[in-house]
Amino acid sequence: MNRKKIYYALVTVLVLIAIGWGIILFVLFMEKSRADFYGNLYDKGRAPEFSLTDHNGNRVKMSDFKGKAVLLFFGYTKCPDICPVTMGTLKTVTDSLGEDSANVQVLFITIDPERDNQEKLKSYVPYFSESFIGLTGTPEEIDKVADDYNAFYMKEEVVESESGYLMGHTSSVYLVNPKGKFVLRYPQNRMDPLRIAEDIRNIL
Amino acid sequence: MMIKILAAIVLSLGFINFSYAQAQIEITEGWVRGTPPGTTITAMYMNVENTGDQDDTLKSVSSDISKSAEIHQTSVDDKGVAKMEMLESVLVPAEGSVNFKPGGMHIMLIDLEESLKSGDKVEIKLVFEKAGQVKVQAEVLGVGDKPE
Ligand SMILES: [Cu+2]
Repeated sequence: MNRKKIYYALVTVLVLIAIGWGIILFVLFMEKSRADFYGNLYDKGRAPEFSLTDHNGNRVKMSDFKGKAVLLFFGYTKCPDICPVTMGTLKTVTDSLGEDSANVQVLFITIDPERDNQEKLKSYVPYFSESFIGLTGTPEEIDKVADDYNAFYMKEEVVESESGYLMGHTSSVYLVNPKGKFVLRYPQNRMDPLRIAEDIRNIL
Repeated sequence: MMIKILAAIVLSLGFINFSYAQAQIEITEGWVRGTPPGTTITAMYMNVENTGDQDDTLKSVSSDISKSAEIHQTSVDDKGVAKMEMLESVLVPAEGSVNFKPGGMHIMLIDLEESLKSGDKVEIKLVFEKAGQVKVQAEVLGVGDKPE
């Protein structure tokens, strides 16, 4: 009888130790995989659904891209600096992914729907890469998408500038995994295309 | 004879002064971003070096290929929001340099006459307070380029 008690106590202790080690190893593993990504972790759950017009005039939903990793960028075509640089970076990302790029979709969502209509996007977005898709909509639709995605934009009246108005806008690139969940975010100081490509390989 | 010598001295002094003023500002690595069809706005980048011992100031910019040109500064805040603002002038310190690069300062070319293709050459005129007008021959690069 006494022996049995000791035996149970021993098993309980061993099981507890095993669970403890399991937890420690799990945490270490999570920390490691966390540190392995180049992009900033962006653990915001499912990327919200939207319905917008692509540069060919078709209605497109976020859920249409399920099964693919999606790189999402908010910008506008009259942006001469940050936007073309970022689009160029995304082109290098998809180029360096080789065959894997078939499982990656770059989406450019305009935050300047007043000027960026379908034709405007058609001459701009595919110019960087035929596979990229430009998306526009009514000002209300764009407003909602930006809001849902926590992207900020505003018209800036630059005093005396001849350029008409310029836009201030969120310049980070979002990475959504093939299951439709946000994973990583790339601010402008994390735009090394080869390392972004490496992250994408890891989530595909 | 005396007058001729004096004239020569005065002329050579003038020449020395002139060449000194010219040598103060040196522009290197000037390039312009190519444009997708239909885009009438782009940016020019360069390195401005002041080899003189006096500060100088870039006061205005212009170009024959666009209706207007402005000095701009892109900045990204801690929330990741990128903005551009116009600068009235840019100080180039003595024996220092200022780099115009993507994501930072650039010359914005507004209302381009036609789209710019990779390989084209473009002339930009810069006016400095002390060095006066400096012309830059800038090469047009691809639209997504960002040379390191
Ligand atoms: Cu600008």
